[in-house]
Amino acid sequence: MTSLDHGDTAHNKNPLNKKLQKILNPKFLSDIDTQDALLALSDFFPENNVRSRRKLRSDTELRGLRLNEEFLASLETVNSALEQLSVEVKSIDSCYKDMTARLGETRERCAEVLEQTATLQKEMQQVEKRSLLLDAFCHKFQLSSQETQLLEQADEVGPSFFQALRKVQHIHTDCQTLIRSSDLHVGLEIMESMAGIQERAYENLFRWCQRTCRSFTGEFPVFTHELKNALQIVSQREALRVYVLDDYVTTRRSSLVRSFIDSLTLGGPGGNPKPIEMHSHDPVRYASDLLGWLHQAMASENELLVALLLQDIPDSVVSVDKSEIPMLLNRICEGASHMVKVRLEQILSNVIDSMDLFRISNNIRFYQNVYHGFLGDNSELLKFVADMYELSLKLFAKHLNGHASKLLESVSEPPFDLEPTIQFTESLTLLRSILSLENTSVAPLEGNRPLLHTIYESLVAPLIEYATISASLDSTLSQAELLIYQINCCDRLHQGLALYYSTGEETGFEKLLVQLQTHQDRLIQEQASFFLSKAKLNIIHMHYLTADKSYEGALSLYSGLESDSLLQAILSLQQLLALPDQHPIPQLDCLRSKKIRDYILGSGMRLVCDFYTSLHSSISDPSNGYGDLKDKLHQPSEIEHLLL
Amino acid sequence: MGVGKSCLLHQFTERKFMSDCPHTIGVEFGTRIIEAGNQKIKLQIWDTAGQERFRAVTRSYYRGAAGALMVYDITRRNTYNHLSSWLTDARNLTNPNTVIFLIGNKTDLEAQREVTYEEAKQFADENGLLFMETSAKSGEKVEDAFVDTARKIHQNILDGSIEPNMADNGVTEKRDTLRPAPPNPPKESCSC
Repeated sequence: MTSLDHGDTAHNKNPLNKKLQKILNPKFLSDIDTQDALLALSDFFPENNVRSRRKLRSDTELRGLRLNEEFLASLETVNSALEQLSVEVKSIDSCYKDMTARLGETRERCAEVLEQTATLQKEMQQVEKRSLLLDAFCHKFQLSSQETQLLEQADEVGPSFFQALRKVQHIHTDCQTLIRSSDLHVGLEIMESMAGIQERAYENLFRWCQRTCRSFTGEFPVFTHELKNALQIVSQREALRVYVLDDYVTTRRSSLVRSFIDSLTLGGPGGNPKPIEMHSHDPVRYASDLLGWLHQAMASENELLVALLLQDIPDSVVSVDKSEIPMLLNRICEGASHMVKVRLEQILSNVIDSMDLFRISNNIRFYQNVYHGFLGDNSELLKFVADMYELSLKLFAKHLNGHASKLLESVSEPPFDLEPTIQFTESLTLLRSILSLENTSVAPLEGNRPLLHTIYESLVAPLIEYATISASLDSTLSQAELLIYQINCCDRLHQGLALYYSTGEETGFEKLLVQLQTHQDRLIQEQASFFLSKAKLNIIHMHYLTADKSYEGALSLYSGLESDSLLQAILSLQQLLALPDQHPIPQLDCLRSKKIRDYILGSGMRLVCDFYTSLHSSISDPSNGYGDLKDKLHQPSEIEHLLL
Repeated sequence: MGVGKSCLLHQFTERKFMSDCPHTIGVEFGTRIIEAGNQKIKLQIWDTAGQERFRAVTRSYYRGAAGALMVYDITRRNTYNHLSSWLTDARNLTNPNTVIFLIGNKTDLEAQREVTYEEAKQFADENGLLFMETSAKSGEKVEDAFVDTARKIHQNILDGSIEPNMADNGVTEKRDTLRPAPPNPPKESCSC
């Protein structure tokens, strides 16, 4: 159609054409309304007959009426519904208004709440901050209840205890900063409470230390790290430290006494080694065992004290005074040493043999040095050992004195050979054995003045006295014999002592030397006079000595020193020079020591020579008026050659 | 010149050789802690003088010894010859469980050796002694000698043949942890 329309645009303007067109293309065919109307018509107009056609109008009107009625009814329903709706809408409206009003009200109220909330929130934040601060503060300045309990009530002390205690100390220190920087009151309060806790903790620690120390009853206790640590801390309170160490000392002392009693009475397992008391019949061994036991105990206890007080101490806060160890050691050993003392006193007073007594005395002296190494000066124990040594010396001196007084009660005359008597030799043997024992024992004799003095006073001096008394008993002895006998005695004594005699010590031994020298000097004089009298020079000698002092003038005019007398004497001297056998005093052979013999003879002859030299020069002096007498004389050098 | 007891002790405690060591006067002592069987053992060692003249003092130190080291000089036969008298002393004066260790010292002087290893070993076996040759100078086997002695003592405790904490057996045990504290073997020896 369109194409047709298009093609015939020119024809459209023709009215006929339009009409035709209208007829040809009725619009109603395409009109939907027409179609619907026709469709509706088909419902009540089924057949196209006359009747139908007549009735159509009324039908249509009827139908229209009915439809209108229906429509009306329907509208009424709608209307009522609408009315209801209107009512409801009104109620909704009122509700809404109500709500709006309420909302308004609420909103007003809400604003307040919100404001409050905001304030509260701010407060909360502050509070939280404060809480954090407080927590931090508490953490730094307070102890947990667990820690407090640990410090105040713990039975056992471990690392956590020390940690807590360190914390207390930190808090205490920090409080000082706190006081300076901000809150005086809080700071002081915390400080006070910490001081309280610390005090109780110290108390607790102290009790623990005491308990621990009291448990050290075995022979070799082992110290834990904790104990050393605890002791260090407790040591900050001097008094507590003293108490703890007191407990330690007491425990160790009784432990030592116990094990000493065991060693004394029980010995080793099954009685092997034998108990010390089993050897009480052998005083030397018994004393040595007692002293040796004490030495071993002392060394062990010393080790323990060093381990307890000095070795690997953590965070050492207290400087340890090393000098307290000897003091503690002394107290620990006190009990056992007392037992040793009692026993030593007992055996010392019961020893019969002087040599045994001397051996024990030496051992005591040895241990005096040994103990000194552990205890230093000024210890009670050493005083006791020193007392024991003194006692032993005293008893030893008593033994020797007893011997000496026996010796001096039965002095006998010098024997024919002028050797020391048997009694003298016996005592000398005792002296020698004492000294040789001393030499081979543990304590050096050198420098032991009290002992040397004792030996001198109690044995050497009586022996010298013996020799003198003995010599005086035989009135028939010549002066020379008397001297020879005494020299023999003194020399024997000196020989016995020489090895042990140290010079520079006032022990009395030097008196022996003086004595010996005096005897020798006198014997030298004797020897010189003997020779001179043999040579008939003795008278000359006497006159010469007198004249030399007081006479002024020619010696030849002096009575006794005339040329003739001198000549005769010199002749007899020349005769004697040819007989060397006649020179010494005959008894000089009785001198035991060849060295002394030679010395006496040599020195005697030297005196003679000196006299001769002097005489010779006097004779040679023309002012003495001897004329040519000097030509008949030997030269002094010749005489010396012959005599010396 | 001694057989070297003090030098052995010095070598063991200080790990140094002491030349010109003087004769021991009476008795001296040293300590060292060693490990045996995962346990620390403290050894207390008494070094006794070898010279006869000190015997009255030294014999008191056998008492309470858990072990004894008996030392001779391999270069001097007479020191070896004295062993039996020292052994008699040791047996009489110690308890039956005391470990006795025979030490032939101075192996550094091999050229001057007068006592063979075999001979001494036989003596040790016959008398139930442990035996070792050492040199205090070079330090050879010194550690072993002491440590073996301690081990043997320790072993005896574990076996139950030594009861710790009894008087005069020289062994003490730490109560809670079974730690045998110091056995103190004194050394004693043949003198020259």
